[in-house]
Amino acid sequence: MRKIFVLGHSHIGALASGYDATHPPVAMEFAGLHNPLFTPPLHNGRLTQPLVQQLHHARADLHIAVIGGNEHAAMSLLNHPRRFDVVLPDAPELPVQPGATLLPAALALALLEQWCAPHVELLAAYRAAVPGRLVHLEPPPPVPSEAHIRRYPDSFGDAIAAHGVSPALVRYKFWRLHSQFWRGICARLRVEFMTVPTEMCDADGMLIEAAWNPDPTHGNALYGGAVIAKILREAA
Amino acid sequence: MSSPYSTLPDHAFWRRSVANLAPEAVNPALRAAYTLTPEHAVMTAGSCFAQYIGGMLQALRFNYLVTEPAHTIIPAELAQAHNYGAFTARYGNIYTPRQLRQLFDRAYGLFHPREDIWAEPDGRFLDPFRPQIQPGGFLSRREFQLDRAQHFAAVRQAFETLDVLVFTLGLTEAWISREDGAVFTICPGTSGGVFDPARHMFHNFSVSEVVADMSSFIDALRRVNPKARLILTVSPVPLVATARADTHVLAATNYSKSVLRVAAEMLTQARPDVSYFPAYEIITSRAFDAGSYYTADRRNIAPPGVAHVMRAFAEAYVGFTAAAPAPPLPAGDAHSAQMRALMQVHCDEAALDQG
Repeated sequence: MRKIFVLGHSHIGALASGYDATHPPVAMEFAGLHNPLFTPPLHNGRLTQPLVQQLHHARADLHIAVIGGNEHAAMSLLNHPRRFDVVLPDAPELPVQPGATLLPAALALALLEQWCAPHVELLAAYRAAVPGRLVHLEPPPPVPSEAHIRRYPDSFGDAIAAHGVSPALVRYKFWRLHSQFWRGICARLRVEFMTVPTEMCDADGMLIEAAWNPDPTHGNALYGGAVIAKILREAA
Repeated sequence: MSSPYSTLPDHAFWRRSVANLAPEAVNPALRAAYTLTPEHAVMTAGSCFAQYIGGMLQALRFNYLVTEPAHTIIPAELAQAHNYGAFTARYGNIYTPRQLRQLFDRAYGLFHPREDIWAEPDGRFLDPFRPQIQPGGFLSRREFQLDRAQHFAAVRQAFETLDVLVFTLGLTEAWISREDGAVFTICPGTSGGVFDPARHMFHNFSVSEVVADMSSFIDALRRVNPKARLILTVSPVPLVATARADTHVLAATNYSKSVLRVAAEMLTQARPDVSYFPAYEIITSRAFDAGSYYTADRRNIAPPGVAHVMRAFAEAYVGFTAAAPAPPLPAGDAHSAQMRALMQVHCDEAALDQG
C-alpha cells in the first residue's frame, strides 16, 4: 500500500489531524469537499473536472469516502418541540422516550434517504470515477455528554438554549439508523462500508471521551488516528 | 287536478332534476338539516373512496380532524406515502361496519383478536387490520406494538372529539376469523399473513347485519361522545374481486352496493343524527350519458367526479358553491430546516478548521 486518497466532508478533519499526529506508514492525500475548487462537486451526476483531475493525479491504491455523515445529528442532536423517537430494528429493546411521537423505522429511513440524497449521488459518482477499492467510513458515534455539547456548542448555541440537547440514547439510535441506511447504500453501490473502531466506542456504543473534538459532533485526532489504523488493518 | 305529486319540489322529478340538466349539474344532495362550520371537527373513515372525502374536506377548508398526523419533521409527500392524513387516524381502509365496531372495541381494549400480528418470513411485522399502512412494514415486534398503542390513542381521541363522522360503506364481502370473528381488512395471504381455511372464512354481510353493526357502533360512539353525528356515504368504487365463484364481479358489486345503500337508508330513517350523502348516486349518475366519472379501468373515480361530489357536499352542508384552493404541501418543519442549516454551518466550520 503506497497511497490512500480521502475525499469527504467535515469528518475528514479528524483523519487529517490523526494522520499528522500518528505518522502512519502510508501516504495519504485529503481532499475536503469544502474546498471552493470542488464546489459544486457534481455536474450531471458526475464528479467535476477539478475533482477528477485530483483523483487521477493522486494515483491512489485505496479510496476512502467520508461523505456527509451528520444527517443523523441534524435530525436528532437537539430536542424537537414535538419530541420524536424510534425503535431500532436491530436493537428494539432500547428504551423509548415517554411521550415522544414514534417514527416507524421505515419512515425514519425514508426521511434519511431524502436528506442524504445529494451525498448518495456524490458517493455514486465517486464510485463511478475510481475503478479500485472504495471504502465509505461510518461517521463517529454521538458524544454522550450533554455537558460537552453545551460547553462547545459551535453554531448551535442559540438553538441549544431554545430547545435543549436531546437524550443521548435518542442521538445514538438515529446514528445507528443512519449507519443502517448507508450500509445499504454501500452494498448497492459496491462500496465497502467500514464501521467505527470498537476501541473508540464506550460500553453504550457512544464516542469515548478521549475522542471528543471540542464541538458537538466530530471526532478528534485520536479518533482519526484510530480510524486510519483500522483502515490499514482491514482495508489496506 | 291536484295529486300528491303536484306539490313536490323539482328534485322529485326525473325530467326537472336529471334529464333536463347538464350531467355535471345534477345534484341529488339536498340541503342538509344542519350546517357544518369550521368549528365542527369532521372525522372520516371507510373504504378507499373515503380518502377522497378527506381530501375534499381539506380543499373546502373544513375542520378535517386528524388525530394521528405525521410528525412535522416528515415532509408532506412522504407523510402521504406513509398513509398519514388519508383518514383521521392511521387505520387505513375500513370496508365494513363490523370492522368499524371492532376498531372501536380494540382501541378501547374491549376486543383482543387472537390473530393480531403477522410476522412475515422476511422479518417484517404487519397489522392484520391495516396491513398496508406502513410501507416496508414494521421492522420489529416492539415497534409494531408501540405504533399500535399510539394509533389506538389517536383513534380514541378521534371518537371522543369529533362532531361529525363521515363513514363510507364500502363492501359487504369480508374475510373473518373462525376463532373470534375478527374481520380482516383484506383476505389473509394477499398483502401479508397466510391464508388458512381452518382459521379464515368468507362472509358476505346481509342488510340486517350491516344495520345491526352500524347501530352497535353508533351506540358505542355515543357513549364516549354524545354529540357525535354521522354522515353515511356508499362507495361507488366496484369490488376489485368477488370471492363468490358463482357470481360475476359486476353482479357481486351491484349486490354489495345495493345492500349498503338499503342499510344506509334504514339507518337514516331510524336515527335522527344519521344522514346520507349521495356520493354514490353522483358518480354512478354518469352511467346515463356518454360521459363517465370512472377512469379507464371503470373502477376508480376520475377527478371531475370527485369535484362534482365536492361541489354537492359544499352546497349541502355549507351552502356555498365555490371551492377554495388547497394550501400547498409543506416540505418539512421550521425546526428541521433550522437544524439542517445550522449543521451545514457547523460542518463547514469544522472543515475550515482542518484547513
